[in-house]
Amino acid sequence: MFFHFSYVVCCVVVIMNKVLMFAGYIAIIFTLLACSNDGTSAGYKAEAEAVCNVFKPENWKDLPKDVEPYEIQKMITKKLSDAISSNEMQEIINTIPKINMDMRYKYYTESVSKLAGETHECPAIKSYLTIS
Amino acid sequence: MAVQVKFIGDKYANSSSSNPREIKTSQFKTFQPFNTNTSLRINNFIWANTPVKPGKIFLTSQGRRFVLEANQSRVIYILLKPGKDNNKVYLQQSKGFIGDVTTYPFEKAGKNLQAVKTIAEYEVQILIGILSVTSWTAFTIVVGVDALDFTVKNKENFPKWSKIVQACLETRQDLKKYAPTLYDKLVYSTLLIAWEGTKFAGSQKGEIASSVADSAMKDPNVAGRGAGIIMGKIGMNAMNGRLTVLSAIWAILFTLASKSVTAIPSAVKSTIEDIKNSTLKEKTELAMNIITLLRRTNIEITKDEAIAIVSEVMDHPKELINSISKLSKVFKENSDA
Repeated sequence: MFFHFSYVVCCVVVIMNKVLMFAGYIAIIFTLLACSNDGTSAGYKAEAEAVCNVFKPENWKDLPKDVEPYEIQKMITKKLSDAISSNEMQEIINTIPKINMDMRYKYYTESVSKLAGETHECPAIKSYLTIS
Repeated sequence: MAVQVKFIGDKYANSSSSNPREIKTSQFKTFQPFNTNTSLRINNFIWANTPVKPGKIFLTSQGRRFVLEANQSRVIYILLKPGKDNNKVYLQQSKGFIGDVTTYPFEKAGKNLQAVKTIAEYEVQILIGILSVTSWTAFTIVVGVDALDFTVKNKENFPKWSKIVQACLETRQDLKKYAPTLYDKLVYSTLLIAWEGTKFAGSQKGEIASSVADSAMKDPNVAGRGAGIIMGKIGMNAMNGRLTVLSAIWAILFTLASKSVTAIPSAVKSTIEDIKNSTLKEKTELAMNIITLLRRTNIEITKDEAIAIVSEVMDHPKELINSISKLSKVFKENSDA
């Protein structure tokens, strides 16, 4: 009787593991689908919004005070990389440093607006790229 | 979907006015000493608490920028990168510098990031100390090919040098008061003289600016800067040699001070003449030991000066025992002796 009970428990654990693994795969697939851009205007718009969010103050509330400059650079890079889901957006973002400093935001909005098929503005990026 | 974004980029292509320009070796001295008290604030909430200031490292596509000086108008930095263009010094308008470092994440987004070695604040101060008294050429000789590699290789030496300089600064008041010859010949002339001629020097010979000295007692970074200045002036091998010799001398003087503190009352000696003779003989032997040791580091002192050092310790053992004990301990623990 005891053997049978152990056997049943063991089987249940194995089945649960399989189910959890499958659920994990499903979750990963859904996450990838949600993050990827389907190439439509709506997709680029959502991607642009995700890029814009990177620079919003509310997403930097937990930044430690004694952080090193290169650590900040790496954090921004990571957040930007996570937000980018299309080659087109990556090209725009990667090109920004090559643009004349005073024209960077203009370049960004013009390029992204063209991608999204409608005017795109992001005050957070404008503030970030404006050097006073 | 093929989207034309490149032509928009070409339209706004970067101008060269804000690009960094290299400071040639011949021009380097005109920028020294670097003002390490100023910083450059980046007016953005992400960077609000992280100004550009000496010793900080920023990533750029050309390499790591190690900041030497930063203010509202300009930034001077060393470009740390592998290859023949490494360790060159650049000057850039502040606006251009901020533009470069804040948009580095845009350039790297979606790509791999380079690994960055970290560098402690006092290590930075040692490098700045060396730079403040050497030419750029000399700096590259002392430091070698890569400043970061130099700090990594000397990871164990840096805190030792810093502690030794700190101990010298902390004990200098007692030494100057009760053993002026000892201070002058063993502390000042062998190590702290390297500060002479720098902005850390006081108004009189043998003096270190009081503001620096006071803060040094609590701040390892200031001692680190001092160690850098000393190393920049006398060189790494000479510095290590002096520390080893001084370690041996402090051990001798500590034994002498300890014996003098616990000396048996002179009543046990048979006659006053005996005391004088034995004391003089002992002093002369110790003095000759000190002279011999110092000669190894090419530092010459006279027999009279060496005897004066021994006399000062014998005359004020109680007042000097703590300082000499500290120096003996710190030098022993932090030199190659």
